[in-house]
Amino acid sequence: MHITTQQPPVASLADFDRRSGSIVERALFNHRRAVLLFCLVVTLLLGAQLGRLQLNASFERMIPVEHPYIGNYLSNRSELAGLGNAVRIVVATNGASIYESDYLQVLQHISDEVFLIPGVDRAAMKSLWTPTTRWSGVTEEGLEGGPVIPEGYDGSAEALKTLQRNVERSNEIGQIVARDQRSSIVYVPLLASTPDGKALNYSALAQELEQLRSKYSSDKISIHITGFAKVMGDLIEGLQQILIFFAIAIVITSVMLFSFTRCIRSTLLVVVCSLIAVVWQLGLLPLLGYELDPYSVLVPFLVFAIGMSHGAQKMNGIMQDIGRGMHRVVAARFTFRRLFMAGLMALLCDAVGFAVLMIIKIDVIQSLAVISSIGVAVLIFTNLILLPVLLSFIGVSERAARRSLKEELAEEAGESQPKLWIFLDLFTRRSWAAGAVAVSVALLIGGFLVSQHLKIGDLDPGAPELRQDSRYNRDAAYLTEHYGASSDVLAVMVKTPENSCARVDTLMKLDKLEWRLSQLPGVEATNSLARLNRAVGVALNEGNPKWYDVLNSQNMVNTITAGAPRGLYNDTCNLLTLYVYLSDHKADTLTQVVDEVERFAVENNTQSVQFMLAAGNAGIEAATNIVVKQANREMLIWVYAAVMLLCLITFRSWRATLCAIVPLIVTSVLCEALMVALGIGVKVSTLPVIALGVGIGVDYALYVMSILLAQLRQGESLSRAYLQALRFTGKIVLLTGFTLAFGVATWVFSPIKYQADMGILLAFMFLWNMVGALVLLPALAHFLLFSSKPRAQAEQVYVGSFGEAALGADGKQSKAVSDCSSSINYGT
Amino acid sequence: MKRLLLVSAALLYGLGVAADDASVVSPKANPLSTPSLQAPLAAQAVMLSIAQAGARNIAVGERGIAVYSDDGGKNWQQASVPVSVTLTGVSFPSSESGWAIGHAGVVLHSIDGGRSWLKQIDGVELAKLELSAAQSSGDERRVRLAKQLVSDGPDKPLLAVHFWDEHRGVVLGAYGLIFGTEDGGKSWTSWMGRLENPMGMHLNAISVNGNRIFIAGEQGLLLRSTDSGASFELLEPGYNGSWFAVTQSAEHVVLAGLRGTVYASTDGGDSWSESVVPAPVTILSAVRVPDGRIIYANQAGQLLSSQNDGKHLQLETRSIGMPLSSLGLGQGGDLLATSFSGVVRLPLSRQSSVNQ
Repeated sequence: MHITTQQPPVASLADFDRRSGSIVERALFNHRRAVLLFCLVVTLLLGAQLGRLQLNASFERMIPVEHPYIGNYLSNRSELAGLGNAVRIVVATNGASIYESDYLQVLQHISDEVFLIPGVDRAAMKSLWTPTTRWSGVTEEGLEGGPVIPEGYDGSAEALKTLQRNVERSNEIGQIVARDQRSSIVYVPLLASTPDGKALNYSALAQELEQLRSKYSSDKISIHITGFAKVMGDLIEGLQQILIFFAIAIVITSVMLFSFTRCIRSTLLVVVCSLIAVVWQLGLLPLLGYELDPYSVLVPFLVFAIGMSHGAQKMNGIMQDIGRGMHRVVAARFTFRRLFMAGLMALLCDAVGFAVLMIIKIDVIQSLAVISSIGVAVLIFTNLILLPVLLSFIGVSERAARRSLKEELAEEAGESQPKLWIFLDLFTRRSWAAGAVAVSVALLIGGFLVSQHLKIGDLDPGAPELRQDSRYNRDAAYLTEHYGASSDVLAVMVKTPENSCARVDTLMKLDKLEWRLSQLPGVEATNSLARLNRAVGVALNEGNPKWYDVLNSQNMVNTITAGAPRGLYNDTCNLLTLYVYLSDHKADTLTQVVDEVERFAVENNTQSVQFMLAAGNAGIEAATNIVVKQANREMLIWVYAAVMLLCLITFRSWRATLCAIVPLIVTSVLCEALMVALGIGVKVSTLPVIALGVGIGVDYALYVMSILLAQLRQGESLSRAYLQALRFTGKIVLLTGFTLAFGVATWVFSPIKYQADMGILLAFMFLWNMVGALVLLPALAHFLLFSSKPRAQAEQVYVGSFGEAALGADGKQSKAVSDCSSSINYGT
Repeated sequence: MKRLLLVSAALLYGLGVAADDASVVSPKANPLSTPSLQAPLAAQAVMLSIAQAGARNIAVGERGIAVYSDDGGKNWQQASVPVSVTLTGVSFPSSESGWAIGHAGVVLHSIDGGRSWLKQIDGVELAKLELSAAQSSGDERRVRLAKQLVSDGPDKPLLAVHFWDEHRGVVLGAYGLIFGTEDGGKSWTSWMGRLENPMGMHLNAISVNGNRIFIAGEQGLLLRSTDSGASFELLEPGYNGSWFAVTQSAEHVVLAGLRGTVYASTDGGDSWSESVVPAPVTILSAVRVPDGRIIYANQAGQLLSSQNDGKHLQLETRSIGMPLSSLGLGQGGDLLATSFSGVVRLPLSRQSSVNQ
């Protein structure tokens, strides 16, 4: 069959039967102006919405609210002030110590100003200047206590001395005062929303913190700020840089597309249509009540990338047809006929693949799923419909069309097949196919073994989204170095009946758990009412350490509890908090602590005393890790199930489905291995990347396979069918694979490490999916798919039901297969 | 003083916590019936007392932790202990047989050099012993106090222990608890009637030299026996702060306690004089070392030393940064100090003149 050399029967518009084609095609192409007008109106309307698009982050949305740990935390949240989302402002002096009046004055100003920032949980805020920071001690007269800042503080040497003594008796060294006493912390717990009911604006908060920093930093005072809000603020602030890298990627992609087509008109059109898709998507977000966060900002770019891939396919098809002399409208219609279904299925695969992320009960991932599904759905309009319609008006440059045809004719002539085509065609032959399959199996096994080391959660201290030498991570390192473990805290809640939190029995259990946890690696310190009982037991007995125990005396425990500082138990005395200070919040550390508490709870929980996980940043992180770990597998299973189903529907052949899916699986596994190699853990921010990779990769497979399958069904040999597929869609697969990989690879230079990591992972998946579609797919096809040779001669089982009607008894193609998803023919 | 503290603490904060007065601790939570957890970090736990058993050192501390070392305190193994209350004292009259005491009136016995321990008696039984002793003494006040002791339950710690040999020993502690055994702990007798301690002061430390026993305690309490514990007399050196350490040789007796107060006697305790101490920090332990000096450890983590008369103390080392609770000697002649983070080896200086 030499369909491409056949003179198309309908070159001119006049000869074209407007009533031909599917109902969709007729509806669209017979009312082209209406389609354009519609798209224009929509673009203007949605474009107008862009100004309302919000970029923000939310601590609450990053946590799996349905997980029981988080449920426990949320239902006791009001009692656990300061254990959620908080910012720490470290104010350090380069003087001898913090006991200098100048330093304390600056600290007071900062503390006062922070107090006024909207969204700060003022009651739980803590610094040397807040009345909640108290000391207590034993003197010959009895137990004394008070705020650490002495009454009538006047900055005099005497007052400073009293302050120092109070601090040393306050149990705050290592908490809000550094161990070297040369810095102290303003601890700023945050509310989920400001008093006016609006969600906390992280970007504004981060800016206010930065203003504080620049206002009070001097050659004597340095300020270090850490906390989720600051990470988000820095990421949002880094958005400008992220956008610059997006722009670079878009420019690179466009230039590469142009150098391929040499047609400025159509290149622009593809880019513009893909950008229109982004406009629609972003415009829809405020209308649907969504906002972008630092993680989902990558999605618009992905939509653009997927749009480029589909757009280029359409444009290439139309260009080839025009080159053959067709009228541009006819070319557009034929291309639409030929590729609409494949494109639609690919986009549906993407959309479903992204939508599957909805099963992960973490708000940011669910909105990521919605945002990316919207984006892909939009592409159906902009790049599968609007683009060919626009092309039918504008057409392509004559020279580019002729050039494209010339190449094609030369290829058809035989000798001047591009070397790459000849090379790729080798994989349809037994030995090369076997080799490719063997290498893939080896990679799959090797990748799988490496991917077993894939870690959940953060693998580095500080914020892995930012570079290790970033301001934020240097601040976090400063905090760890000078304050020990106090920034990674996991809190165990102990629920008791009202007024019973201080029962000796309960305290002894708490004490037991505390000891068991303190034996775990990574646990640096613990604190609880039980520990306080031990310490005060010693203090009340003239400092004799032999009294270091929880005394089995309710009277004694009551006395100690009455004087206990805030936070160890709540006002109604039905909740105790056990604080576990960790050396880091790495997944391994958290898992050990959580497992130990779970075991203890099973052994010790009763009707009246329940040990519950978890609060504190590390507790929330632990719950998130558990959800992410489970979701990581579940998500892949669902994504693949969805993609397979759609492939089965499209190809109506399990063998073809296998050929398309296996390369994707290899890519997914290797991507996990790559994450291991790069030291990237699976967490909320990186979880979706593999699902997105499957979504992107399936496009290539669908385009190549749909042509290949159609050709096979028309009786072509695998080799010829594959060459045809390469000519029609393969080169665009190659083009998009390279251009997109090249575009995202520049992200490696982004100052935001998260973007750099995503750049590497996406570039890898763009490339490897392409290699998979062009090398492994034909190799698998060699073993799985067979040409529909005349039945008399062919022993192979005929694959699929599709197109059977198109074959005559002699096995030659006798009639056009009119279904657009498979028809390569232009009528015979 | 302690009662005063409780009252003032209650006044200061106002009692906000109501809980059942009957403190019934479930067996699961009760450290008296829970074996000590084999803890990876046992050697870094809060340690409170140390003893020598032949070439071995044995130290005890919080949560029923007992550890032993056969290399002079470099490496420690955790012993198996049937309780997880805080252990406060340990005494080894021989290299195999030893006793450890602790909170809830627990007395433990080991016959394998401290590797494993069995409980001999606890505060519940001790209280009953005192009640029956009180009843047979006919002293009504004593009976009333003993009944209170029984109804309080095992909430009082033993604080010191001494065993003369594998049969004869004495344990003493909070609120004037003191009990002796003549049969290696199989049976115990209350000694509370032998002591003049009407206010029920804590008995913090004991020192034995032949038939002479000193018991030092809370609020300046000092008792001496010259008949190996059959009877005690009250001494009044002239200080009413608490004593935490007492040590003696032939005629020299030294007391140390609150805020670094040290009193010394050169006539077996008949007369006393206050010593010169460079640091006003409570001394928790004093030990005689082979060169004849006395080494003291205080709450600030400092070591002090004096000649065996205990008259002039001098600082021996800088603070190690945490309280040192007791002192002992290791195999290689190093000083072993129990601290809030395990046993610390402190090489003993030899620069002071030896007067032996």
